[in-house]
Amino acid sequence: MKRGWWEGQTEALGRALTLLGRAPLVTAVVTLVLATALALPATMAWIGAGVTQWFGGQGTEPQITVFFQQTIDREEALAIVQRWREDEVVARVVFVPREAALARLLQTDLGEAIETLPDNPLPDAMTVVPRRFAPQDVAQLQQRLAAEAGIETVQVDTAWVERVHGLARAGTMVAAALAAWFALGMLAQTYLAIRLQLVAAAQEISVLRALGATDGYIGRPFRWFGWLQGLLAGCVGAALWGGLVAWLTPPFDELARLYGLGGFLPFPAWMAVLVLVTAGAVLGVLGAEISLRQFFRAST
Amino acid sequence: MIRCEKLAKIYPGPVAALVDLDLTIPAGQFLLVCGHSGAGKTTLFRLIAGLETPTHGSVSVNEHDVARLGRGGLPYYRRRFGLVLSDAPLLPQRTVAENVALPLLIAGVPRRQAFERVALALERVGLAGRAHELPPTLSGGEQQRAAIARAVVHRPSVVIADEPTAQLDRDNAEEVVRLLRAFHAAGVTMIIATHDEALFASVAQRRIVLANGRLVEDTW
Ligand SMILES: Nc1ncnc2c1ncn2[C@@H]1O[C@H](COP(=O)(O)OP(=O)(O)OP(=O)(O)O)[C@@H](O)[C@H]1O
Ligand SMILES: [Mg+2]
Repeated sequence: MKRGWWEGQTEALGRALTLLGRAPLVTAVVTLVLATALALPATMAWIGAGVTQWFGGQGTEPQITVFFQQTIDREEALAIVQRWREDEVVARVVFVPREAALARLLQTDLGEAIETLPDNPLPDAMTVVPRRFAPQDVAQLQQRLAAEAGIETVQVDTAWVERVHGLARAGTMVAAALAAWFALGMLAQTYLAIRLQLVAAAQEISVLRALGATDGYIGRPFRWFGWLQGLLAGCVGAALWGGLVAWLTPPFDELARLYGLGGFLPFPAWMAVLVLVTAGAVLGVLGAEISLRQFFRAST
Repeated sequence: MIRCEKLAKIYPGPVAALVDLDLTIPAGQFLLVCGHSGAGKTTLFRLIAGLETPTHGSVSVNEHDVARLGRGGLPYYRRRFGLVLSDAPLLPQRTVAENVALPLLIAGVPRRQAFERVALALERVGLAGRAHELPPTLSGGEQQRAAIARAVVHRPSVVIADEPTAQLDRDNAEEVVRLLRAFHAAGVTMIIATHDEALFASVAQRRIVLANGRLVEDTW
C-alpha cells in the first residue's frame, strides 16, 4: 500500500510535468507573470530596507548620554570612559567634564539662575554612540550602561529611536502591502492556470471519475502542477531579482560613497532566494487547491 | 444482487428517460437489455453504475442503497463495475496499456503488478502486440476489445456494456460476444444493452425490453 502511494505520487508528478511541457509557451508566459509578481515586491523591499538603513544611520545617529554619580571622582569617571571606548559595540565615546557642561549651560537662558548657586550642580557625563543603530541594539547597550557601577542615569535620544521606528514601520507596511497585493495576484494567476488545465482535461476527468477515481486521485497531478509552476516561478523570480540587484548595486554603492553612507546590502541574497522560491511554491499549491475545490464543488 | 426500485430519471425538458422501473438482477446473471433508441437503456446503466443520481426511487446493491454512499463512498462503489460505456471512452492521449491499467492504478495497485495484469488482459482480448499504441490508431473492433480489457482487468463483480458490438462487422462482433461469454463463465454478472439480440441469443440468460423508459417485457 505504501509503495502504491509513492508510485501514485510519482505518477502524478509525471503527469504534471507532461501538462507543463504540453504547452511550453503558455507555461513560459505564466512563469514570467508569476516571477514578476514575486521579484517586484522583493526588489522594492530590498531598496526600502537599504534606504531605511541609510537614513536610519546618517545624521540621526543615536546618542546615549550617560551621567556619572556625583560620588565618584574624575579619575574613576575617565577609567569608565576608557573601558567603554574599547567596547566592541561602541563607535565612540566623548567625555563631557562637569565644567564644560556648566559653561555650556551658562550660555543658555538658565544661565542667571545657575550663577547664583554656590557649587556646580552638574555631574560629569559622557555621550556614547553605538556601532549599530537598530533600536534593539541601542536598547541593549543602554541596559548594559545602566548596570555599570558609578553611573547614575542613562538617557537615549528618544526622538531618534522614534524616527527610525517610524521609518522602519512605514517601510515594512509598504513592503507588506505590496507583497500581499502581489501574492493575491499570483494566487489568482495560478488559480487561472490550473483552471485552464482542469477545463482542458474535463473529459479525461469524467472518465477517471466513472472508473472510480476519488477527488484526491483526480486532483493529485494538478496539485503537483501548481507546486511545480510556483517553484519554477520562484526560481525565475529569484533570478530576476538577483539580476536587478546586481544591476542596481553599483550605482547605489556609488551614491553611498558620494554621500559618505555605508554600503548597500540590506539583506543577504540567499535569504531572498529562499523566500522567493518558498513563496512561489506555497502560492502555487494554494492556487491549485482553490481551483480544485471550486472545480469539485461545481461537478458531481 | 442489484435491485432497482421505482427507479425514475427525469431530465430537464422534462424528458422521462426512465419511469418507475422495478428490476432485480441476481449475481452472475447474463442480462440482455433491449429497446428502441431513446428507450432508456443507457440511462439505466448510468444509474446502476452510480454515474447519475435517480430523480425518484433507488438502486441498491446487496441491500445497500447507493444514494446513501455520499461523495466519499461513490468512487469505491463505482470500482465494482467494469464499464464499456460511452461515458467512459478510452483516453486518446494514453496508450492502450495505460488505458487498461486505469482501474488498477485508481484502486492503488502498484504499477508493476498493474501492468503485469494489463498484459494478461490484453493477451486475452488479442491485443498483446498493440499495448503501446494510442487508441485512435486502433480499428473499431480493436478499440472495443481494449475497452473490454479495461472493463475486466480489475476483476469487477459486474460488467456493464452499452452496445459493445455496435459499428462492428460480424466477425468482430462475434469475437466480442465470445469474450463476454468467457468472462461471464468466470462468474461475472453481465448487463449488456444491444440492438442485435440474435448475436447474444446463445449466451443471454434473461432479456428485458424497455420502451419509453418503462419495463415492457422480462423473459428468463
Ligand atoms: N443528459 C441528458 N439530458 C437530457 N436528456 C437525456 C440525457 N440523456 C438521455 N436523455 C434522454 O433520455 C431518453 C433516454 O435516453 P437513453 O440514452 O437512455 O436511451 P437509449 O435507450 O440508450 O437509446 P439508444 O439506443 O439510442 O442509445 C432519450 O429521450 C434521451 O434524449
Ligand atoms: Mg444508449
